[in-house]
Amino acid sequence: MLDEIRISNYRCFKKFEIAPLSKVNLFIGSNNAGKTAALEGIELLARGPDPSVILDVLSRRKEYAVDYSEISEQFGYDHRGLFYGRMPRIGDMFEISSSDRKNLTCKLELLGDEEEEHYRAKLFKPDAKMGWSEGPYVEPLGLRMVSEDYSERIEVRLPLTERFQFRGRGDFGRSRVRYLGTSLFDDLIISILWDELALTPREDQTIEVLRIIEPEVLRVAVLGGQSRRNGVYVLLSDGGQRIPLGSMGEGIRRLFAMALAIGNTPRGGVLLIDEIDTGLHHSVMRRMWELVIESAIRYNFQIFATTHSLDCLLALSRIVAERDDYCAQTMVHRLDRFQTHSTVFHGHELSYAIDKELEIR
Amino acid sequence: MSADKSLKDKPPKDHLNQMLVEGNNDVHAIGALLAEHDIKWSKTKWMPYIKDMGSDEELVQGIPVAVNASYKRLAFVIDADISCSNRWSQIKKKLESEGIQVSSSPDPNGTVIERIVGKKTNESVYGLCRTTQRWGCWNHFCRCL
Repeated sequence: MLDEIRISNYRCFKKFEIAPLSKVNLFIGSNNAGKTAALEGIELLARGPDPSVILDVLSRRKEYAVDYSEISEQFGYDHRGLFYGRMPRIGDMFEISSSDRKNLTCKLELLGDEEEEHYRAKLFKPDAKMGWSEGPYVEPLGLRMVSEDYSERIEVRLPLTERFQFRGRGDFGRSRVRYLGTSLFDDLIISILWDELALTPREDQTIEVLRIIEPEVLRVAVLGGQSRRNGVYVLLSDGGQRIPLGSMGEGIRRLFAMALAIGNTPRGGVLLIDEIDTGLHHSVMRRMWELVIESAIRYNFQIFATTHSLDCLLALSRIVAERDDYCAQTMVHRLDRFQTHSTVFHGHELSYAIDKELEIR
Repeated sequence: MSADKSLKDKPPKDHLNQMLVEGNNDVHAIGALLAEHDIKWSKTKWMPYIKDMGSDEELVQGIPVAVNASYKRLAFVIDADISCSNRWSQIKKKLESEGIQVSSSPDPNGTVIERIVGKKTNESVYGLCRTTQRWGCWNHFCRCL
């Protein structure tokens, strides 16, 4: 379990520490305080020297480089936002580490042609789920990722230019980290995640999550067949028809995505949920937290979530006030990029602040 | 002077300036005294939202949480009728647990601490009224805040 995170020179953080960490961690703070950046930092550290993590991070924020000087638009990745100050020069690096001797550094470098070809072959060997896109030549910038975990040191390089644009979900199924952003999973990911859960005890748990909003849900299936357009369908107890989950509203689709992420987070893994309250009515927040915390304890994974919502904090505070075991596993961190460390509220302090209407966000 | 007059134009509940007091009586008494000293609510001036914390013990216990809350200016008004030095040492201990250093004894006019955190300046006013038994003491105290 990560017990602290130190981030330097990454996105809005010049130097920042989030500590101590618990099993359930909620990040709060104003807009642009660095909550999502902190989640990304944890993802980068926990996934290690995996080149696809950088591309996931850049893709989620739609950080694509566009060069309008060419006749046709040229898309690569705009890596500048990864670095503090957004003006990185060759040789600059960011670093993320924890006290348990885990460390990840990413250094911006120019790659030589030969080196490009070597790492292209080594890292991005196409298979059924991956693809390549070849494009016009651009400056061969790359990130050298060095990961140290105990005595093991792994180094990889990630080209950032268009000719190495990476498509696919290379190791999504094998990663120990699950990230649920503000947008829902795409069909391919849903299909992969559902396959992992189907006919296991965690399938029942996933259906239980959907019943928070719709108690009539009996069964769930991901259907697609030859159309290659996977869709999630549910069977309700009050009728014989299978109904597309999408027809039941944004909240239940969001909960399904959350349930898939929870159900697919392996023991000892890390679950990251950005804006955990998205699409949820205040009346279901409490039940949502119960399931999240209970799952984290039962399956022994660590969760990091963000929110702006007072309803979300209120629900968490009520549940930790009632359950000592949940209280002991919960921490709230307020992030402020102008500080050097997070402001920590333990479970009982959260309850006090909410009870006394103290504004901690 | 009336409580109604002071509370009519009070700041919003989520105002960045907050004054934490022991009980509901203090909300009205201090609100009235601030009004009497012409400290009125405006968006730019130091007029806090006055918050009832339930009791003196609850207020003191909650100091570590309160000083970490998202306020620009924070004040505590804590009665010390019985033992000023004991009360101050309680408060001092709580503040020091959050890395805030204060003097070994309270300033009779109220203790003001400014914390500069990053680009933000947080100013905390820790007021300890020595006695409420003497005529005019509260008046003097509120003027100092």
